[in-house]
Amino acid sequence: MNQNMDPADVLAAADALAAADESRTKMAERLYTPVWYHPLVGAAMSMFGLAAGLAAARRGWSDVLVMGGLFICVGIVLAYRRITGVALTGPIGPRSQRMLIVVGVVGILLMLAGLGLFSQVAVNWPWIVAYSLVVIVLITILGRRYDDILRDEIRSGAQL
Amino acid sequence: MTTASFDELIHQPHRLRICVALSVPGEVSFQALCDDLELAMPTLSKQLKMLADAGYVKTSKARGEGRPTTWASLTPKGRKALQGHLAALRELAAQVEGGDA
Repeated sequence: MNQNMDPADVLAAADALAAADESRTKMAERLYTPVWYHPLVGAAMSMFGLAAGLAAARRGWSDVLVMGGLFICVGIVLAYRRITGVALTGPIGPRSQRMLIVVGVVGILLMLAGLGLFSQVAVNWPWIVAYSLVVIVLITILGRRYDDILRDEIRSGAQL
Repeated sequence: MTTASFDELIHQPHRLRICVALSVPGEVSFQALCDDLELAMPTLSKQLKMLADAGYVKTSKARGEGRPTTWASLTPKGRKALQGHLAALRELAAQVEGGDA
């Protein structure tokens, strides 16, 4: 195919690749996550961790916390779709896939920490606030890093 | 490993840009495609229909608040065709860099 190609076709191919790059860049720019997104994910996760601890200690409020966390999760996913016009269903390339696994493992560990913490110690506001802050900060840092990698991979045309 | 394969349907500039925009895993709204690709709605509809008829794109309508929103995504067949086409374009463009053109 390459040997007998018209030079005009070759230049057209370069133009087409440039157009494809531009399309990827616009998609990456579109996927800027709102600033409130990851803190709210962290808040929902801290509610799940607190709920697990309270349930293990046979105290009340765990159902309410789980429902509240689920409500936040559904709300932010729908809001993200509406704001960006994109409903992502997974990572783009190998780097974002690895980062997603890291975020998932850290999320599970944080919820287990909540389970251990609130099933053992007296549940009071200082503990709840401290635990929630740790979860929100960690999830926000990791979530934003994941988004940066995702956008880099979209721009570069990476794929799994 | 992607096999380079020139695809006449995808090569048209609007359709190539649409397929690249849809290459993210998931769905992209009709409005987002219009905005990013700077295409009029009738033009985008026509091109999406051609891609859908070829089995490259899948569209769905979701009713949220107010008007239904159309969402589009690349099918596995479309993804494979796009990857093959981009690989073919890279092979061609490499001729420019190699000084063969």
